[in-house]
Amino acid sequence: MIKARNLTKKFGEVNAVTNVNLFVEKGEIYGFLGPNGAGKTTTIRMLTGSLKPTKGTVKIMGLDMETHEIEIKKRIGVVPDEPRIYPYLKGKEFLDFICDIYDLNKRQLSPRIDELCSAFGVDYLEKIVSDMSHGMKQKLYLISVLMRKPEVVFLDEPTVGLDAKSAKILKLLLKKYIEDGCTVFMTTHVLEIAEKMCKRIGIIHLGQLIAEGTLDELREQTADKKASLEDVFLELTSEGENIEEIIKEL
Amino acid sequence: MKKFLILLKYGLSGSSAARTNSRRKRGKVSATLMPIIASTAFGIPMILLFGRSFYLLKDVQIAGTDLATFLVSMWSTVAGVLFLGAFVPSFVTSFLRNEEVLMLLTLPVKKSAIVLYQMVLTLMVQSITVVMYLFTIPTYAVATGKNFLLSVISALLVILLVLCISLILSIFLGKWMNRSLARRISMIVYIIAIVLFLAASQLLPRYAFEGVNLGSIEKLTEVVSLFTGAWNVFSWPVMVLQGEYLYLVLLIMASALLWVVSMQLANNLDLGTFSEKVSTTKAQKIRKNLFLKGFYMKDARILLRIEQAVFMFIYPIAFAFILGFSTKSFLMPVFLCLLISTFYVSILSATLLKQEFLTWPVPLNFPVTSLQLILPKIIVPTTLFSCAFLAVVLVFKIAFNLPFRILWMVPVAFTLYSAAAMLGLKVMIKERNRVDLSNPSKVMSTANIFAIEGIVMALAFASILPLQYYMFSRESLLNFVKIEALVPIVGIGVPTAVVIAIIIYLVRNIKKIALQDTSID
Ligand SMILES: Nc1ncnc2c1ncn2[C@@H]1O[C@H](COP(=O)(O)OP(=O)(O)O)[C@@H](O)[C@H]1O
Ligand SMILES: [Mg+2]
Repeated sequence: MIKARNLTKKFGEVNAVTNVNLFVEKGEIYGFLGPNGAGKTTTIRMLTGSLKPTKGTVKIMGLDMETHEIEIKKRIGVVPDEPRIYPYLKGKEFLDFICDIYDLNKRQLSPRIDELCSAFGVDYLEKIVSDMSHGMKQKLYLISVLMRKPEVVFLDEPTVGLDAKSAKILKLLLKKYIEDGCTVFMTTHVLEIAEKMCKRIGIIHLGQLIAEGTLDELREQTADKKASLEDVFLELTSEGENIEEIIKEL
Repeated sequence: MKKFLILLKYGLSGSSAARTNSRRKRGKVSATLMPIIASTAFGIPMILLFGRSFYLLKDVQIAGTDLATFLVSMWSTVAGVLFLGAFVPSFVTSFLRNEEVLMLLTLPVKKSAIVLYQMVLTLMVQSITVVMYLFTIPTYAVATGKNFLLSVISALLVILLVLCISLILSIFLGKWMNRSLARRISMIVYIIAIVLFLAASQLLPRYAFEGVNLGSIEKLTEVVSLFTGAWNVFSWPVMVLQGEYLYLVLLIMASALLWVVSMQLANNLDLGTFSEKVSTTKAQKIRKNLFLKGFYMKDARILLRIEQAVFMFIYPIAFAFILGFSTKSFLMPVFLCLLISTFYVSILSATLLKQEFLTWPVPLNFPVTSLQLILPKIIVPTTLFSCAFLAVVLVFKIAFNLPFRILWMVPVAFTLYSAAAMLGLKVMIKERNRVDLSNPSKVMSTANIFAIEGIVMALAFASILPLQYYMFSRESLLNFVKIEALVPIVGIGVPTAVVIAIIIYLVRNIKKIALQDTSID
């Protein structure tokens, strides 16, 4: 479903992402982990066609991003790290706008929108977007993506800013979603979510994919075979060794 | 005051970090020169039109006042009321969803500095409204042989006074103002001003040009005293010019007093809670429009919801009608309306694109090409303003019984608007990393605002005036170019060349946008 070869992005002198190879199968939840500034958002933007890679190719659903950009965009869903929505529109108008942009029949979608709204507790569709809090916008954005039932969903830190209940509902929805044969690619730095939800996990550090596999496979790469994902993560991103020293020095 | 200047320096130039020295110098020069050039270009037709009227009317007496004095009082009153009605709501609402102000509030800066700063930003886009007023009084002084210097000083004082009044009004209104109310207030003010003015101007010319009409003389006296009365702040400069220096003292004292009061009020303002009252919406029907889809619908909605945009849409129309009916002339009011609109179209298309940048990079995820994204930003404001212009020309055609040929201006206006929209978009694209997205009053840098103003004015001059004169007043064109053979070349050639150049420019840029990568960072 998602295939990336030698994905590389340079911002001037900064190597944000270097030679990342990814392969995600249909019906899988793939977790993309990494410390702040590791290149998660940059990778997602290249995978979804909103950023041109300096080098490398992306294929989604067998279609080449280079040649089928619009078609891919039409069939996938992207939830960016920040839910930026036109501030002067009402929530409902934003959903209408999305329906128009994606050539969807609003009437047919309406029951699904209602379902999603009541699931997330969204009762503010008549509000102007700029009056919504961060979390409210995020839920609205999630609905605008999930209502379309895209074949592949990319989520960039989807649980940041959501309250506990909404985060839980999102997790359940995504699980149900892959059962219907869809594919999910999400970045997160909440390790617990990755541990519980994702079949396979990739860890990116300083722009390079340093480890990939199921949780068990990742454990293989470390000394402690019973380690939690947190330990694995900290060891792999080599931040574990000096945390205690840092704390002491403080 | 020092803090205010610092805010202005950084606020108006955008982030200056990225600029080299030489560029900054050039920016500074054009930032100070361009406003002067642009407003002069705009003022000249005003001066010509009013100058002639004042000169003709200064000897006609009515109810103890000469008509020139009456006209200038009336015009400055209406211009002033229009300004208050337009400026106050858009100033108040500019504090809503203004992240920059929220940021500034965390700095050790006096609130009055922030308020002043935001006021200058709001004024910048509406500088034309001030110019309207600023040019009238000195024109009157010259045409009727009064003290020129005095006229400039008192006109400036009135503007200061009006700004203080609007500041105070804004502060009080801001406590319970919300967006829809703001829009309604400016609408009402416009309607009142237009009705008042039309009524007055209907009385005025009948008297001026057809002799005394005994039936209306009493009414007329009332109207005259209404505008020239002592309570009318806007006509104080006129009284000063007639030797009543008491009003000059009053002006100075009032503006000084109001200045102090408004600064005090501003410092005690609770800007952080200057928030919008969420209207308890009764399940509103969503209006459906068959012709607008997706981006078009969204962009039109946004345009109608930004109160500054609503003002920009109404102002040129109101302006054309008021000026046209009060001076009984067609060309200058319509032309000035076109000039103002052209300028506003470019601001609005830039504003629409700014909305996309506000949500960047989200629009990149939509399955649309860059052309699909950009084109509505040209088409929506252009269409809206073209329709308005058509309406204005039609009204004049009927009211003044003009020939149908006069409608030739409408397609030319359409081309001009498209060019202006494209200019606005290009500047916005170029400046997107420098424009501060967090403040709704900031669309582009001052230098660019005035550069666009200058360019579109030049284009409008070249494409409208020669052909208009060629068609309706061949002699004046001949007088201007002197040589008979040059008349058709200038009259037809220049406008045609300009229109063709604009079309080529548009096509080339649209092609460029179509080829452009959507994945620009
Ligand atoms: N538009 C940009 N211009 C320059 N540098 C960027 C840009 N976007 C991201 N970067 C840099 O690329 C690196 C990776 O950023 P990002 O992908 O956002 O990390 P994260 O894993 O936290 O999402 C960072 O060093 C960041 O500074
Ligand atoms: Mg990120």
